[in-house]
Amino acid sequence: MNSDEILAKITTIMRETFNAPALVISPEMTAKDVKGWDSMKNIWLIVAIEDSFNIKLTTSEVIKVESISDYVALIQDKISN
Amino acid sequence: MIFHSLDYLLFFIFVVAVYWTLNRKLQVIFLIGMSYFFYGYIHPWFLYLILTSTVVDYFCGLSMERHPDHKQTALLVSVVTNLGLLGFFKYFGFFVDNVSELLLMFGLPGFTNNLDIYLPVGISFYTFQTMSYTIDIYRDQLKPRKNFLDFALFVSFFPQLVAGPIERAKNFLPQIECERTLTVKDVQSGLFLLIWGFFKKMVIADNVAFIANKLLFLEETSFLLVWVGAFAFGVQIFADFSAYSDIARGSARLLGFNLSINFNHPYIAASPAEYWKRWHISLSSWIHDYVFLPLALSRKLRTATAGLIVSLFITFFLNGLWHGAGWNFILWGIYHFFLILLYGWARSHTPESIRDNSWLRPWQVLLMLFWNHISFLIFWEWELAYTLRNLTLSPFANSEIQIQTAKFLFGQTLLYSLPLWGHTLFAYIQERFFAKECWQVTLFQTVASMIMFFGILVLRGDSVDFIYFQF
Repeated sequence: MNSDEILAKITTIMRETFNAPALVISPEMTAKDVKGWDSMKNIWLIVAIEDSFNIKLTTSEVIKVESISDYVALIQDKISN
Repeated sequence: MIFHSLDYLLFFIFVVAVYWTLNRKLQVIFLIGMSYFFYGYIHPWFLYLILTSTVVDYFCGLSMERHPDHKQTALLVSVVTNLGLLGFFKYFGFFVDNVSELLLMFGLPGFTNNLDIYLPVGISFYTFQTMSYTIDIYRDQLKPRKNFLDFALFVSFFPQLVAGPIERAKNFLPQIECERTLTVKDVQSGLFLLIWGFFKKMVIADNVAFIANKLLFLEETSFLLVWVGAFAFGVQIFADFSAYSDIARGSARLLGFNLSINFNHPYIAASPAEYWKRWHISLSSWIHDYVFLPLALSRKLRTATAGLIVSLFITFFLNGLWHGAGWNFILWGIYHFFLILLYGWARSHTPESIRDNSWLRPWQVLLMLFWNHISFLIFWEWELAYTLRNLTLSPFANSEIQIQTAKFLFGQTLLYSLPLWGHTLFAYIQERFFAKECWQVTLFQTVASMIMFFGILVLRGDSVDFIYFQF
Protein backbone atom coordinates (compact mmCIF):
# COMPACT_ATOMS: atom_id res chain seq x y z
CA MET A 1 0.00 0.00 0.00
CA ASN A 2 1.56 3.31 -1.04
CA SER A 3 1.32 6.60 0.85
CA ASP A 4 -1.48 8.00 -1.37
CA GLU A 5 -3.63 4.96 -0.70
CA ILE A 6 -2.95 5.21 3.03
CA LEU A 7 -3.82 8.92 2.96
CA ALA A 8 -7.09 8.20 1.13
CA LYS A 9 -7.99 5.56 3.71
CA ILE A 10 -7.11 7.90 6.59
CA THR A 11 -9.35 10.57 5.02
CA THR A 12 -12.30 8.15 5.07
CA ILE A 13 -11.54 7.16 8.68
CA MET A 14 -11.26 10.78 9.80
CA ARG A 15 -14.48 11.81 8.08
CA GLU A 16 -16.30 9.06 9.96
CA THR A 17 -14.51 9.62 13.29
CA PHE A 18 -15.02 13.38 13.31
CA ASN A 19 -18.51 13.11 11.78
CA ALA A 20 -17.36 15.53 9.07
CA PRO A 21 -18.23 14.20 5.58
CA ALA A 22 -16.73 17.25 3.83
CA LEU A 23 -13.36 17.06 5.62
CA VAL A 24 -10.36 17.40 3.31
CA ILE A 25 -6.98 16.47 4.71
CA SER A 26 -3.41 16.92 3.55
CA PRO A 27 -0.16 15.33 4.85
CA GLU A 28 1.11 18.46 6.61
CA MET A 29 -2.07 18.95 8.65
CA THR A 30 -1.88 18.66 12.45
CA ALA A 31 -4.54 18.41 15.19
CA LYS A 32 -4.66 22.22 15.27
CA ASP A 33 -5.85 22.34 11.65
CA VAL A 34 -8.78 19.98 12.08
CA LYS A 35 -11.75 21.26 14.08
CA GLY A 36 -12.76 18.87 16.82
CA TRP A 37 -9.51 16.84 16.80
CA ASP A 38 -9.15 16.71 20.56
CA SER A 39 -7.67 14.10 22.91
CA MET A 40 -10.84 11.98 22.97
CA LYS A 41 -11.30 12.00 19.21
CA ASN A 42 -7.61 11.18 18.86
CA ILE A 43 -8.17 7.91 20.74
CA TRP A 44 -11.14 7.09 18.46
CA LEU A 45 -8.92 7.84 15.49
CA ILE A 46 -6.08 5.59 16.72
CA VAL A 47 -8.45 2.70 17.40
CA ALA A 48 -10.15 3.17 13.98
CA ILE A 49 -6.74 3.23 12.24
CA GLU A 50 -5.72 0.04 14.07
CA ASP A 51 -8.92 -1.74 13.05
CA SER A 52 -8.86 -0.50 9.48
CA PHE A 53 -5.20 -1.32 8.76
CA ASN A 54 -5.13 -4.34 11.05
CA ILE A 55 -2.14 -3.07 13.02
CA LYS A 56 -1.40 -2.27 16.70
CA LEU A 57 0.00 1.09 17.75
CA THR A 58 1.77 1.66 21.06
CA THR A 59 1.69 4.77 23.27
CA SER A 60 5.37 5.45 22.49
CA GLU A 61 4.62 5.40 18.75
CA VAL A 62 1.46 7.48 18.96
CA ILE A 63 3.02 10.17 21.14
CA LYS A 64 5.54 11.01 18.43
CA VAL A 65 2.82 11.63 15.84
CA GLU A 66 2.33 15.32 15.14
CA SER A 67 0.93 15.45 11.61
CA ILE A 68 -1.03 13.31 9.16
CA SER A 69 2.20 12.51 7.33
CA ASP A 70 3.59 11.05 10.60
CA TYR A 71 0.55 8.74 10.70
CA VAL A 72 1.10 7.75 7.07
CA ALA A 73 4.79 6.96 7.75
CA LEU A 74 3.95 5.03 10.93
CA ILE A 75 1.26 2.97 9.18
CA GLN A 76 3.53 2.28 6.22
CA ASP A 77 6.26 1.14 8.60
CA LYS A 78 3.85 -1.11 10.52
CA ILE A 79 2.38 -2.69 7.37
CA SER A 80 5.79 -3.40 5.87
CA ASN A 81 6.95 -5.04 9.11
CA MET B 1 12.36 33.06 48.04
CA ILE B 2 9.33 34.64 46.44
CA PHE B 3 9.46 36.47 43.12
CA HIS B 4 7.71 39.69 44.15
CA SER B 5 10.22 40.63 46.82
CA LEU B 6 13.28 42.84 47.07
CA ASP B 7 15.25 39.71 48.01
CA TYR B 8 14.52 38.15 44.63
CA LEU B 9 15.33 41.34 42.75
CA LEU B 10 18.75 41.63 44.40
CA PHE B 11 19.35 37.88 44.06
CA PHE B 12 18.47 37.90 40.37
CA ILE B 13 20.61 40.95 39.53
CA PHE B 14 23.56 39.24 41.25
CA VAL B 15 22.91 35.95 39.40
CA VAL B 16 22.69 37.62 35.96
CA ALA B 17 25.79 39.75 36.58
CA VAL B 18 27.98 36.79 37.60
CA TYR B 19 26.42 34.24 35.21
CA TRP B 20 27.40 35.96 31.98
CA THR B 21 31.08 36.19 33.03
CA LEU B 22 31.35 32.39 33.25
CA ASN B 23 31.84 29.64 30.66
CA ARG B 24 29.10 27.04 30.04
CA LYS B 25 30.33 24.48 32.57
CA LEU B 26 30.77 27.05 35.32
CA GLN B 27 27.39 28.58 34.43
CA VAL B 28 25.75 25.21 35.12
CA ILE B 29 27.54 24.79 38.47
CA PHE B 30 26.77 28.39 39.43
CA LEU B 31 23.07 28.02 38.52
CA ILE B 32 22.77 24.80 40.54
CA GLY B 33 24.31 26.57 43.54
CA MET B 34 21.98 29.55 43.13
CA SER B 35 18.95 27.31 42.61
CA TYR B 36 19.71 25.38 45.79
CA PHE B 37 20.17 28.68 47.62
CA PHE B 38 16.84 29.94 46.19
CA TYR B 39 15.00 26.79 47.29
CA GLY B 40 16.84 26.38 50.59
CA TYR B 41 16.05 30.03 51.39
CA ILE B 42 12.43 28.95 51.95
CA HIS B 43 13.49 26.03 54.17
CA PRO B 44 16.89 24.26 54.09
CA TRP B 45 15.49 20.74 54.58
CA PHE B 46 13.60 21.03 51.25
CA LEU B 47 17.01 20.48 49.66
CA TYR B 48 17.13 16.84 50.83
CA LEU B 49 13.93 16.15 48.90
CA ILE B 50 15.03 17.68 45.63
CA LEU B 51 18.42 16.01 45.96
CA THR B 52 16.75 12.62 46.52
CA SER B 53 14.59 13.10 43.42
CA THR B 54 17.62 14.19 41.38
CA VAL B 55 19.95 11.35 42.44
CA VAL B 56 17.31 8.61 42.11
CA ASP B 57 16.17 9.71 38.64
CA TYR B 58 19.72 10.23 37.39
CA PHE B 59 20.67 6.65 38.29
CA CYS B 60 17.33 5.22 37.10
CA GLY B 61 17.92 6.86 33.71
CA LEU B 62 21.44 5.41 33.43
CA SER B 63 20.27 2.03 34.66
CA MET B 64 17.64 1.80 31.91
CA GLU B 65 20.34 2.18 29.28
CA ARG B 66 22.82 -0.20 30.91
CA HIS B 67 20.30 -2.88 31.84
CA PRO B 68 17.56 -2.80 29.18
CA ASP B 69 16.11 -6.06 30.56
CA HIS B 70 15.34 -4.31 33.85
CA LYS B 71 14.00 -1.09 32.37
CA GLN B 72 10.65 -1.55 34.03
CA THR B 73 12.23 -1.97 37.49
CA ALA B 74 14.21 1.27 37.09
CA LEU B 75 11.08 3.12 35.96
CA LEU B 76 9.18 1.71 38.92
CA VAL B 77 11.88 2.92 41.34
CA SER B 78 11.70 6.41 39.82
CA VAL B 79 7.90 6.64 39.85
CA VAL B 80 7.55 5.14 43.35
CA THR B 81 10.20 7.49 44.76
CA ASN B 82 8.67 10.62 43.25
CA LEU B 83 5.06 9.70 43.92
CA GLY B 84 6.12 8.47 47.38
CA LEU B 85 7.61 11.87 48.22
CA LEU B 86 4.58 13.63 46.79
CA GLY B 87 2.13 11.25 48.49
CA PHE B 88 3.73 11.53 51.90
CA PHE B 89 4.28 15.27 52.01
CA LYS B 90 1.13 16.33 50.20
CA TYR B 91 -1.54 13.69 50.75
CA PHE B 92 -0.69 11.77 53.93
CA GLY B 93 -2.73 14.02 56.25
CA PHE B 94 -5.69 14.05 53.85
CA PHE B 95 -5.60 10.25 53.57
CA VAL B 96 -5.39 9.67 57.32
CA ASP B 97 -8.21 12.15 58.06
CA ASN B 98 -10.51 10.53 55.49
CA VAL B 99 -9.78 6.96 56.65
CA SER B 100 -10.48 8.06 60.22
CA GLU B 101 -13.78 9.66 59.21
CA LEU B 102 -14.76 6.54 57.29
CA LEU B 103 -14.06 4.38 60.36
CA LEU B 104 -16.16 6.69 62.52
CA MET B 105 -18.99 6.48 60.00
CA PHE B 106 -19.10 2.70 60.50
CA GLY B 107 -19.03 3.07 64.27
CA LEU B 108 -15.38 2.03 64.55
CA PRO B 109 -12.85 4.05 66.57
CA GLY B 110 -11.15 6.77 64.51
CA PHE B 111 -7.70 8.19 65.14
CA THR B 112 -6.08 11.58 65.17
CA ASN B 113 -3.38 12.62 62.75
CA ASN B 114 -0.63 13.88 65.03
CA LEU B 115 1.89 14.36 62.24
CA ASP B 116 1.85 17.97 61.14
CA ILE B 117 3.52 17.61 57.75
CA TYR B 118 4.76 20.79 56.15
CA LEU B 119 4.16 20.85 52.38
CA PRO B 120 7.43 21.57 50.56
CA VAL B 121 6.59 24.15 47.88
CA GLY B 122 7.23 23.12 44.32
CA ILE B 123 7.25 19.37 45.06
CA SER B 124 4.28 18.78 42.71
CA PHE B 125 6.17 20.52 39.92
CA TYR B 126 9.69 19.12 40.08
CA THR B 127 8.60 15.53 40.80
CA PHE B 128 6.48 15.64 37.61
CA GLN B 129 9.37 17.20 35.70
CA THR B 130 11.87 14.50 36.73
CA MET B 131 9.37 11.71 36.11
CA SER B 132 8.96 12.92 32.52
CA TYR B 133 12.73 12.31 32.15
CA THR B 134 12.65 8.66 33.23
CA ILE B 135 9.36 7.89 31.44
CA ASP B 136 10.73 9.35 28.19
CA ILE B 137 13.86 7.19 28.50
CA TYR B 138 11.66 4.18 29.16
CA ARG B 139 9.68 5.01 26.00
CA ASP B 140 12.92 5.36 23.98
CA GLN B 141 12.20 9.02 23.34
CA LEU B 142 15.24 10.30 25.20
CA LYS B 143 18.83 9.26 25.87
CA PRO B 144 19.85 9.25 29.55
CA ARG B 145 22.31 11.95 30.53
CA LYS B 146 25.72 10.99 31.82
CA ASN B 147 26.57 14.46 33.10
CA PHE B 148 25.09 14.63 36.59
CA LEU B 149 25.43 18.41 36.84
CA ASP B 150 23.43 19.07 33.64
CA PHE B 151 20.71 16.80 34.96
CA ALA B 152 20.79 18.38 38.44
CA LEU B 153 20.20 21.80 36.86
CA PHE B 154 17.30 20.42 34.80
CA VAL B 155 15.60 19.40 38.06
CA SER B 156 16.43 22.47 40.12
CA PHE B 157 16.51 25.46 37.71
CA PHE B 158 15.27 28.19 40.07
CA PRO B 159 13.01 30.31 37.78
CA GLN B 160 10.56 27.44 37.23
CA LEU B 161 11.33 25.27 40.26
CA VAL B 162 8.51 26.32 42.55
CA ALA B 163 5.49 26.69 40.25
CA GLY B 164 6.47 25.68 36.75
CA PRO B 165 6.16 25.67 33.79
CA ILE B 166 6.80 21.92 34.11
CA GLU B 167 9.51 21.50 31.49
CA ARG B 168 10.11 18.37 29.46
CA ALA B 169 13.60 16.91 29.43
CA LYS B 170 13.72 16.75 25.63
CA ASN B 171 13.06 20.50 25.38
CA PHE B 172 15.06 21.77 28.32
CA LEU B 173 18.11 19.51 28.68
CA PRO B 174 19.49 20.37 25.21
CA GLN B 175 19.34 24.06 26.22
CA ILE B 176 21.44 23.30 29.32
CA GLU B 177 23.93 21.30 27.26
CA CYS B 178 24.69 23.94 24.63
CA GLU B 179 26.41 27.33 24.74
CA ARG B 180 23.94 30.08 25.56
CA THR B 181 23.82 33.54 24.08
CA LEU B 182 21.99 36.71 24.99
CA THR B 183 20.71 38.94 22.19
CA VAL B 184 19.14 42.39 22.42
CA LYS B 185 15.84 40.73 21.50
CA ASP B 186 16.19 38.30 24.43
CA VAL B 187 16.80 41.20 26.82
CA GLN B 188 13.80 43.11 25.44
CA SER B 189 11.39 40.20 25.58
CA GLY B 190 12.77 38.96 28.92
CA LEU B 191 12.34 42.34 30.58
CA PHE B 192 8.85 42.72 29.12
CA LEU B 193 7.84 39.31 30.48
CA LEU B 194 9.25 40.23 33.90
CA ILE B 195 7.47 43.56 34.15
CA TRP B 196 4.21 42.16 32.77
CA GLY B 197 4.44 39.34 35.29
CA PHE B 198 5.14 41.66 38.23
CA PHE B 199 2.29 43.94 37.11
CA LYS B 200 -0.17 41.06 36.87
CA LYS B 201 0.84 39.77 40.30
CA MET B 202 1.25 42.98 42.28
CA VAL B 203 -1.42 45.18 40.70
CA ILE B 204 -4.09 42.84 39.33
CA ALA B 205 -3.92 39.60 41.36
CA ASP B 206 -3.13 41.09 44.77
CA ASN B 207 -5.81 43.80 44.52
CA VAL B 208 -8.47 41.47 43.16
CA ALA B 209 -7.54 38.83 45.79
CA PHE B 210 -8.76 41.30 48.40
CA ILE B 211 -12.16 41.54 46.67
CA ALA B 212 -12.46 37.76 46.12
CA ASN B 213 -11.55 37.00 49.74
CA LYS B 214 -13.99 39.57 51.10
CA LEU B 215 -16.88 38.30 48.99
CA LEU B 216 -16.33 34.56 49.18
CA PHE B 217 -15.73 34.51 52.93
CA LEU B 218 -19.06 36.25 53.70
CA GLU B 219 -21.24 34.20 56.02
CA GLU B 220 -24.41 36.03 55.01
CA THR B 221 -24.27 36.34 51.27
CA SER B 222 -26.38 36.55 48.15
CA PHE B 223 -26.39 35.35 44.56
CA LEU B 224 -24.84 38.55 43.17
CA LEU B 225 -22.11 38.75 45.80
CA VAL B 226 -21.09 35.12 45.28
CA TRP B 227 -20.95 35.44 41.49
CA VAL B 228 -18.97 38.69 41.63
CA GLY B 229 -16.69 36.83 44.08
CA ALA B 230 -16.30 34.02 41.53
CA PHE B 231 -15.52 36.58 38.83
CA ALA B 232 -12.87 38.19 41.07
CA PHE B 233 -11.35 34.80 41.89
CA GLY B 234 -11.24 33.91 38.18
CA VAL B 235 -9.33 37.11 37.46
CA GLN B 236 -7.08 36.57 40.48
CA ILE B 237 -6.10 32.97 39.77
CA PHE B 238 -5.31 33.64 36.11
CA ALA B 239 -3.38 36.86 36.83
CA ASP B 240 -1.54 35.22 39.73
CA PHE B 241 -0.54 31.98 38.08
CA SER B 242 0.24 33.36 34.64
CA ALA B 243 2.29 36.08 36.39
CA TYR B 244 4.45 33.40 37.98
CA SER B 245 4.95 31.72 34.61
CA ASP B 246 5.83 35.01 32.92
CA ILE B 247 8.33 35.98 35.64
CA ALA B 248 9.83 32.48 35.34
CA ARG B 249 10.05 32.78 31.55
CA GLY B 250 11.43 36.32 31.71
CA SER B 251 14.08 35.37 34.30
CA ALA B 252 15.05 32.30 32.28
CA ARG B 253 15.29 34.30 29.07
CA LEU B 254 17.76 36.73 30.65
CA LEU B 255 19.87 33.65 31.44
CA GLY B 256 19.65 32.46 27.82
CA PHE B 257 16.91 29.83 28.23
CA ASN B 258 13.50 29.53 26.58
CA LEU B 259 10.84 28.05 28.83
CA SER B 260 7.56 26.79 27.41
CA ILE B 261 4.40 28.91 27.23
CA ASN B 262 2.06 27.94 30.07
CA PHE B 263 -1.01 30.09 29.32
CA ASN B 264 -2.45 31.05 25.97
CA HIS B 265 -5.37 33.40 26.72
CA PRO B 266 -7.46 30.66 28.39
CA TYR B 267 -10.59 32.74 28.95
CA ILE B 268 -11.30 33.03 25.23
CA ALA B 269 -11.66 29.25 24.93
CA ALA B 270 -14.92 28.20 23.29
CA SER B 271 -14.99 24.64 24.66
CA PRO B 272 -13.52 22.62 27.55
CA ALA B 273 -11.12 20.82 25.17
CA GLU B 274 -9.85 24.18 23.93
CA TYR B 275 -9.64 25.50 27.49
CA TRP B 276 -7.27 22.69 28.50
CA LYS B 277 -5.06 23.52 25.52
CA ARG B 278 -4.82 27.10 26.81
CA TRP B 279 -4.78 26.77 30.63
CA HIS B 280 -1.68 25.53 32.50
CA ILE B 281 -0.51 23.94 29.27
CA SER B 282 2.60 22.33 30.76
CA LEU B 283 0.50 20.38 33.30
CA SER B 284 -2.38 19.45 30.98
CA SER B 285 0.01 18.23 28.27
CA TRP B 286 1.96 16.27 30.93
CA ILE B 287 -1.21 14.61 32.18
CA HIS B 288 -2.32 13.93 28.59
CA ASP B 289 0.98 12.29 27.60
CA TYR B 290 1.74 10.36 30.78
CA VAL B 291 -1.70 9.54 32.23
CA PHE B 292 -4.52 9.82 29.69
CA LEU B 293 -2.81 8.39 26.61
CA PRO B 294 -1.32 5.27 28.24
CA LEU B 295 -4.61 4.63 30.07
CA ALA B 296 -6.84 5.09 27.02
CA LEU B 297 -4.51 2.96 24.89
CA SER B 298 -4.02 0.25 27.49
CA ARG B 299 -5.17 -3.19 26.45
CA LYS B 300 -8.13 -3.27 28.80
CA LEU B 301 -9.52 0.18 28.03
CA ARG B 302 -8.67 0.91 24.42
CA THR B 303 -11.61 -0.45 22.45
CA ALA B 304 -14.80 0.33 24.33
CA THR B 305 -16.42 3.75 24.78
CA ALA B 306 -16.65 2.91 28.47
CA GLY B 307 -12.87 2.48 28.51
CA LEU B 308 -12.37 5.96 27.13
CA ILE B 309 -14.77 7.42 29.68
CA VAL B 310 -12.98 5.59 32.53
CA SER B 311 -9.60 6.89 31.26
CA LEU B 312 -10.97 10.40 31.07
CA PHE B 313 -12.46 10.16 34.56
CA ILE B 314 -9.17 8.93 36.10
CA THR B 315 -7.29 11.69 34.24
CA PHE B 316 -9.48 14.50 35.56
CA PHE B 317 -9.70 12.95 39.02
CA LEU B 318 -5.89 12.98 39.21
CA ASN B 319 -5.73 16.46 37.67
CA GLY B 320 -7.96 17.69 40.50
CA LEU B 321 -6.01 15.78 43.15
CA TRP B 322 -2.71 17.19 41.86
CA HIS B 323 -3.95 20.64 42.82
CA GLY B 324 -4.29 19.78 46.48
CA ALA B 325 -5.31 17.39 49.17
CA GLY B 326 -8.95 18.41 49.38
CA TRP B 327 -12.30 17.16 48.11
CA ASN B 328 -12.95 20.55 46.49
CA PHE B 329 -10.07 19.94 44.07
CA ILE B 330 -11.23 16.40 43.32
CA LEU B 331 -14.79 17.67 42.73
CA TRP B 332 -13.41 20.40 40.49
CA GLY B 333 -11.62 17.75 38.42
CA ILE B 334 -14.75 15.61 38.18
CA TYR B 335 -16.79 18.67 37.16
CA HIS B 336 -14.39 19.27 34.26
CA PHE B 337 -14.67 15.58 33.33
CA PHE B 338 -18.43 15.98 32.97
CA LEU B 339 -17.98 19.18 30.96
CA ILE B 340 -15.68 17.40 28.49
CA LEU B 341 -18.16 14.53 28.18
CA LEU B 342 -21.10 16.91 27.69
CA TYR B 343 -19.33 18.89 24.98
CA GLY B 344 -18.08 15.72 23.26
CA TRP B 345 -21.63 14.36 23.16
CA ALA B 346 -23.13 17.72 22.04
CA ARG B 347 -20.56 18.12 19.28
CA SER B 348 -21.21 14.70 17.81
CA HIS B 349 -24.95 15.51 17.72
CA THR B 350 -24.60 18.95 16.12
CA PRO B 351 -24.59 19.40 12.32
CA GLU B 352 -21.18 20.26 10.85
CA SER B 353 -22.49 23.56 9.40
CA ILE B 354 -23.51 24.89 12.82
CA ARG B 355 -20.86 23.64 15.28
CA ASP B 356 -17.90 25.49 13.73
CA ASN B 357 -19.74 28.63 12.67
CA SER B 358 -17.50 31.59 13.55
CA TRP B 359 -20.53 33.77 14.39
CA LEU B 360 -21.34 31.43 17.23
CA ARG B 361 -17.89 31.66 18.78
CA PRO B 362 -18.49 34.73 21.00
CA TRP B 363 -21.53 33.00 22.51
CA GLN B 364 -19.58 29.79 22.96
CA VAL B 365 -16.83 31.77 24.76
CA LEU B 366 -19.41 33.37 27.06
CA LEU B 367 -20.96 29.99 27.82
CA MET B 368 -17.50 28.55 28.59
CA LEU B 369 -16.85 31.50 30.93
CA PHE B 370 -20.11 30.68 32.71
CA TRP B 371 -19.06 27.01 33.18
CA ASN B 372 -15.69 28.24 34.40
CA HIS B 373 -17.28 30.47 37.02
CA ILE B 374 -19.06 27.44 38.44
CA SER B 375 -15.69 25.66 38.49
CA PHE B 376 -14.11 28.62 40.37
CA LEU B 377 -16.76 28.32 43.06
CA ILE B 378 -16.07 24.58 43.42
CA PHE B 379 -12.29 25.11 43.44
CA TRP B 380 -12.35 27.93 45.98
CA GLU B 381 -14.50 26.41 48.71
CA TRP B 382 -13.12 23.65 50.96
CA GLU B 383 -16.48 22.96 52.60
CA LEU B 384 -18.90 21.14 50.32
CA ALA B 385 -21.89 22.55 52.22
CA TYR B 386 -20.84 26.10 51.33
CA THR B 387 -20.28 25.15 47.68
CA LEU B 388 -23.79 23.77 47.51
CA ARG B 389 -25.16 26.87 49.21
CA ASN B 390 -23.26 29.15 46.80
CA LEU B 391 -24.52 27.30 43.74
CA THR B 392 -28.14 27.24 44.83
CA LEU B 393 -28.64 30.87 45.88
CA SER B 394 -31.68 32.49 44.36
CA PRO B 395 -30.85 35.16 41.73
CA PHE B 396 -33.87 37.17 42.94
CA ALA B 397 -33.07 37.42 46.65
CA ASN B 398 -30.56 40.29 46.84
CA SER B 399 -31.05 43.21 49.20
CA GLU B 400 -30.50 46.76 47.91
CA ILE B 401 -27.17 47.09 49.75
CA GLN B 402 -26.01 43.72 48.37
CA ILE B 403 -26.89 44.87 44.82
CA GLN B 404 -24.96 48.14 45.30
CA THR B 405 -21.93 46.34 46.81
CA ALA B 406 -21.92 43.74 44.04
CA LYS B 407 -22.15 46.44 41.36
CA PHE B 408 -19.29 48.43 42.88
CA LEU B 409 -16.97 45.44 43.36
CA PHE B 410 -17.82 44.05 39.91
CA GLY B 411 -16.82 47.42 38.41
CA GLN B 412 -13.57 47.41 40.37
CA THR B 413 -12.71 43.84 39.35
CA LEU B 414 -13.57 44.58 35.73
CA LEU B 415 -11.28 47.62 35.83
CA TYR B 416 -8.39 45.60 37.27
CA SER B 417 -8.95 42.86 34.69
CA LEU B 418 -8.86 45.25 31.71
CA PRO B 419 -5.09 44.80 31.11
CA LEU B 420 -5.67 41.03 30.82
CA TRP B 421 -8.34 41.49 28.15
CA GLY B 422 -6.18 44.20 26.55
CA HIS B 423 -3.29 41.76 26.37
CA THR B 424 -5.50 39.22 24.58
CA LEU B 425 -6.70 41.90 22.16
CA PHE B 426 -3.11 43.05 21.57
CA ALA B 427 -2.00 39.47 20.83
CA TYR B 428 -4.88 39.10 18.36
CA ILE B 429 -4.05 42.39 16.58
CA GLN B 430 -0.34 41.60 16.54
CA GLU B 431 -0.92 38.16 15.04
CA ARG B 432 -3.25 39.51 12.36
CA PHE B 433 -1.63 42.75 11.30
CA PHE B 434 2.02 42.88 12.37
CA ALA B 435 5.16 40.81 11.93
CA LYS B 436 6.44 39.16 15.12
CA GLU B 437 9.37 41.54 15.31
CA CYS B 438 8.62 45.05 14.13
CA TRP B 439 9.18 48.51 15.53
CA GLN B 440 5.50 49.05 16.29
CA VAL B 441 5.43 46.06 18.64
CA THR B 442 8.72 47.10 20.32
CA LEU B 443 7.39 50.64 20.77
CA PHE B 444 4.14 49.36 22.23
CA GLN B 445 5.97 47.05 24.63
CA THR B 446 8.29 49.86 25.76
CA VAL B 447 5.42 52.27 26.43
CA ALA B 448 3.36 49.54 28.11
CA SER B 449 6.37 48.57 30.29
CA MET B 450 6.78 52.15 31.46
CA ILE B 451 3.07 52.45 32.28
CA MET B 452 3.16 49.13 34.12
CA PHE B 453 6.25 50.15 36.07
CA PHE B 454 4.47 53.25 37.39
CA GLY B 455 1.34 51.15 37.90
CA ILE B 456 3.29 48.83 40.20
CA LEU B 457 4.62 51.80 42.18
CA VAL B 458 1.21 53.45 42.60
CA LEU B 459 -1.40 50.68 42.51
CA ARG B 460 0.25 47.65 44.12
CA GLY B 461 -1.98 45.71 46.49
CA ASP B 462 -1.08 44.08 49.81
CA SER B 463 1.30 41.24 49.08
CA VAL B 464 -0.38 37.83 48.86
CA ASP B 465 1.44 34.51 48.28
CA PHE B 466 1.18 32.99 44.80
CA ILE B 467 -1.87 30.69 44.81
CA TYR B 468 -0.02 27.84 43.14
CA PHE B 469 2.61 27.75 45.92
CA GLN B 470 0.14 25.68 47.93
CA PHE B 471 0.05 23.03 45.20
